[in-house]
Amino acid sequence: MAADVVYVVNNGLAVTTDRLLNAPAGNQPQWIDMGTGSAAATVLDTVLETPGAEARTVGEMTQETTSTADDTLQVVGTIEKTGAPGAIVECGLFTHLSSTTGFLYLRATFDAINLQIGDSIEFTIQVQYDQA
Amino acid sequence: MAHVAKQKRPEGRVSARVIKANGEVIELGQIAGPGITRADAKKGRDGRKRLNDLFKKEGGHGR
Repeated sequence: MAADVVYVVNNGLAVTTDRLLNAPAGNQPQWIDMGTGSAAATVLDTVLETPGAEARTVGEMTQETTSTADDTLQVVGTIEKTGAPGAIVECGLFTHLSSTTGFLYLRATFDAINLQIGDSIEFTIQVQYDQA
Repeated sequence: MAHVAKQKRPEGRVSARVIKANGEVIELGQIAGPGITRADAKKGRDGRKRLNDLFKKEGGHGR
C-alpha cells in the first residue's frame, strides 16, 4: 500500500517563481505522467520512481477557487494504459512532454489502481496556494 | 524585530476516475492529499473493489 501523499517538490517551487518572471525560462507544469513506484512522495523527488510505458499527456490548466479567489491551480488530463496490465500508484506533473528535459513540479503516491490495457485514468490535480 | 511571514508550501490534492475500455466510468474521488472526506474514502474503496473484481475477471495480476 502506497502512502497517499502529494508534494509540490522543491523543483516545483522553482518552477513557480520562474513562471512569475516577465520571461520565464521554463514551461508550464501541464504534462501528467503515471507510474508504478510506491516509495512515498517527498519534496526531494525530481522524477517518478518508476514511470509507466505510457507517454505523458498534456492537461487542461485552469484557475480554481478553494479558499480565496483563484488560489488554486488545476490540471486535468487522461492517460490510457498501454504496455501491460497492472497497478498505478504514483503520478506527477511535469514541465515537458519528454522525460529527458524539464522539471517535476508535483508528485503524488496513492493506493493501487488496477488498470487493464485500454483503460484510461483521468487525473484532476489541484495545487492550492492559499496556505495562510 | 520585524515579523516575517512564512509562506507554507502549496498543498496538492489528486482526484481520479477510471474509464474502462468498454466505457464504464469508475469514480475514485480524491486519492491523495489532505482533507479526504468520508465520502471520498468510500468512493475510493468501492471504486477500487470494482476495479479489482474486473481485473480478476479479465485475467490481470494487480495488487
